[in-house]
Amino acid sequence: MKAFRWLVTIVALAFAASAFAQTRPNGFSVILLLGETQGSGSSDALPPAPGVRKALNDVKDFLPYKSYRVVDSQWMRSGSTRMKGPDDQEYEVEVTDVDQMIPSPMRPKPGVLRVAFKLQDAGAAQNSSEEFGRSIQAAELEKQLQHDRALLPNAQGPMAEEQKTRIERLQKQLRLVRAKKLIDSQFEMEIGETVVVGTSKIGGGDKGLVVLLTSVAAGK
Amino acid sequence: MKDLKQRLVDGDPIAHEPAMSDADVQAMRRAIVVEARRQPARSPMSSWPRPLALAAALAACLVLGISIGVRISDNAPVIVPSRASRPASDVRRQLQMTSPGGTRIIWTFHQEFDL
Repeated sequence: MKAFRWLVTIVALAFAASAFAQTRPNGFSVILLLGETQGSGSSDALPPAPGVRKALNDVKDFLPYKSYRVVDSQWMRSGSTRMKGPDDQEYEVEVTDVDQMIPSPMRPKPGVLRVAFKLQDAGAAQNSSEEFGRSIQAAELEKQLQHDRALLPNAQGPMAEEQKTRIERLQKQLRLVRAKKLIDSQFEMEIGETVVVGTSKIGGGDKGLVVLLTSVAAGK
Repeated sequence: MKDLKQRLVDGDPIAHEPAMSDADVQAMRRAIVVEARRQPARSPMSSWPRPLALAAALAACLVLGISIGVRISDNAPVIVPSRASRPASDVRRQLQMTSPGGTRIIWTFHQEFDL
């Protein structure tokens, strides 16, 4: 009887300690790079953290890009933020420490986090039905764009200027409509580890977005 | 004429047996009392922890279910390579690999990716 009470007390204390440890938020360093197969840009703008440089050096042989350019970097707690991409494109970045969101006694290992990482164009569709609606809208806009481009060589003077403005506006609209989720991934990472998360066109393409994600222990 | 009920009563062998002697009755009673005393007393443990054990089992199932649910979430691409369900216009594939230096790479390919 006494032993049972002791056992219950110990288990309750263990759960409480686990919950307390999980409430201490961890931080993340997010560095957004543009990888290009052309050009000879260097990665000198990288933060001096040796772990980050080592991670990029490690993956260079795996990725097809010759140059890497830092486009934005941020420190953040679990949550979401906006980051600037190339050509003033904006991205929404969300990093979640899953075990902090849903405390669970079944954590992977001490010092290991389960991280959900999302990167999407700003204003991306949130569900499949919205994506479907937008794909129809994009098809309409593309038709209009082709039509206006076809008319451009014949336009002269103020008409040509007006046509160009219209094309630019359509291109912007098309970009917004095509905004989509780029990365949606969940993985485990050790505290202090840098994981390289990236996206590109199937087959490689000539450009890719590369994110160097480093987890930092709470209180550091 | 005897009816069926009367015939059954008349034919019951126990009704014609002599009653048990007082000594036999006492012997039977003693045997029952002795056997009853030999049984272990019911401990308080056996009475109150039943609801607690049930609650603990339910809590354990709940924790297990949530943990499995979190791990096998739809958003978690755990199969490598995986193919997310997207509209036909945006096919996605995800690869996870580890470099010789130990750095992990998680790469998502899009059919339509434009920078």
